[in-house]
Amino acid sequence: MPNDVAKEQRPHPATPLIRGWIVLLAILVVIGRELIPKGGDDDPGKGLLSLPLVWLLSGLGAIVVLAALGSFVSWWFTKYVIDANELRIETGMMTKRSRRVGFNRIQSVDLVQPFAARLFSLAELRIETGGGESVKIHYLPRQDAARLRDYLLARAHGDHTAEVTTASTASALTDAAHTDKVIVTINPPQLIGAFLLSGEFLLTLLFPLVALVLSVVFHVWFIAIPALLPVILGIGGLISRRVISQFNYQLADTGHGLRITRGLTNLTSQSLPVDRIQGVRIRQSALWRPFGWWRVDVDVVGYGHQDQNSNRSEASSMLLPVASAEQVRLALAGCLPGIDPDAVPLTTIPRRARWLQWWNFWTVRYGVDAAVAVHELGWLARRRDIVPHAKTQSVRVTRGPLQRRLGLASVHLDTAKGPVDWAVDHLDGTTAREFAAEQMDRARAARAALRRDASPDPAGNPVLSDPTLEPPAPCA
Amino acid sequence: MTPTSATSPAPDPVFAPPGEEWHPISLRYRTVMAVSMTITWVLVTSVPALFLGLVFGLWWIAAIIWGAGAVILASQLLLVNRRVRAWGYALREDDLYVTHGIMFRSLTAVPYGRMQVVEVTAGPLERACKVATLKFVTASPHTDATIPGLPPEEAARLRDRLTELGETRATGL
Repeated sequence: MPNDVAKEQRPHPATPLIRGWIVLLAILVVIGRELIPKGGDDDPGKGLLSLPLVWLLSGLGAIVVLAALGSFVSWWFTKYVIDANELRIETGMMTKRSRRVGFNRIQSVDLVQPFAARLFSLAELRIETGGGESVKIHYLPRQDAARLRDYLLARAHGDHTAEVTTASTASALTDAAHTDKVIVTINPPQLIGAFLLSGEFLLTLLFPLVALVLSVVFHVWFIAIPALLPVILGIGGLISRRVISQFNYQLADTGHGLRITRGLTNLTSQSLPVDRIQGVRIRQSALWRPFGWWRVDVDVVGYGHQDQNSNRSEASSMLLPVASAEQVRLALAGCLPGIDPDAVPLTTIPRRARWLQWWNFWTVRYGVDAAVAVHELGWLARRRDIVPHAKTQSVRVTRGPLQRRLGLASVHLDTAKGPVDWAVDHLDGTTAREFAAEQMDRARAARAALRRDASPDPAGNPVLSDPTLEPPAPCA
Repeated sequence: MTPTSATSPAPDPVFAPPGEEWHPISLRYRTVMAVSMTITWVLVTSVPALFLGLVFGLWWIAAIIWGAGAVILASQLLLVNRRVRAWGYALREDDLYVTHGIMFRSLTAVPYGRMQVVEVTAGPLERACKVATLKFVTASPHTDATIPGLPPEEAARLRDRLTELGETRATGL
């Protein structure tokens, strides 16, 4: 595909069929919801079922035909072109829309295979540019999509001669090339166990249980049962988000960055450029502790944007939904190459902080080495934040009235939008100020080192340039 | 440290200026702060007070709400002078420093190279008092580098200076 440059191409002809299938599914869901007996209604599904069957079916048929027509038209007018320097996507019949994505603007390319598309060996490409809405191309034959993805990623890394071989073998079951090095695989028992012990799930379960017990005790179960329906739906949604979409979770090193492949019905394959990672948060809840499980989240530029369709922001800030300490170590070695966060020398906060943080002041540890700043705390639920010096956006020192009385102050390292919030509370005041000043020096040195590394590219194509600076940042 | 600093907040080594003195902001910003505080507290107290008074005839509760609001407002107005004097900024070789607050003090240090946007805004009240607010935006939503109460020409000069410094020192994220 990259060989026939500047040729207009269309997504796969089966696209309208698959999108129509989604519409059909949506209609069935709506009708199904009508048929489910509602809480107070003692005459279930009265509204729709009272219509003659013929009307119902022909109405349904008309909607399906219209939807199919609509998606056919939108498919016909969708074209994409790969140029020397950019990807161009044109859509729309009435309102034309043309989007251009410069290769050096690409932050990451994800390959998504919704269930229906998967049956037809098709896949959708989602291209993140860091500038809000992601660019989507759906659907392409799986092999083409994987090739295009590899090509775009290679170009995004400034690899001009990218002659992409068919190393990437996206299949119906997985998406991995033989050159990929699998770092972590999360097996189903671990995933399901972690889900069953997650606070989210237990809280969702707690409400109906309390309601059930109360209603049985007070003999009002006939009111309580219909009220449970939304809760059951909520649990279903939770299972689909936390288990089904995270099934067969695999983190691999592709040589161009990390790749996350996951999903039971919908297969999603996210690419995660290592140099885009702004910070890492590792945490463990009290219930996970006996099993030694941890969850790993990362701050990634361009992933902070909300996408209502697929709660992507949450899904993609996650590096590992659950992992053992050893798996965490492997994943960290993958996303912070050459850095060992365990080797960072840590210090404690003064004992007088107990007046302000009596519940866990003795567990607070923080420290820095040449590359990263580490902060950890907690004894029941534990948490650890790691921020590379080169990714520090700003440093803050804050002090409230009580802290002033005790001669304490807090230090915050601000990173790009995401789950990581590196903040040490209640350091000694003078230490806090010194730490902040030294952190500025460390960050400056780290940025200078990055610039030196990036400069060997004389073509003025900074390796994965800053998405939010226009034009690409000049290398000073 | 000197007796002249009696009006400014007690010197605190943790929030000492990095190098030379803090650049103060314009004292005209006191008017902006006082007026906007007054407007806010009048609105915050009047809505529930009038609701209770007009709908339920509970004017005595309304009077308590207004009274409490007046006390809080008066105590806030007394602090306006100190709060405005507590703002300060300093331009160092590579970083911008901003400090503010008297009860809850804060000091932010931002490398110029982290600049995404520099915004200068001035609302109607600020324009009437001839001041403007400069905001230094980075990729982090937590970066607290806003300098209010700058004379407009000073704000424009600072904006251009920061933009220039930001461009020459820009680094990828």
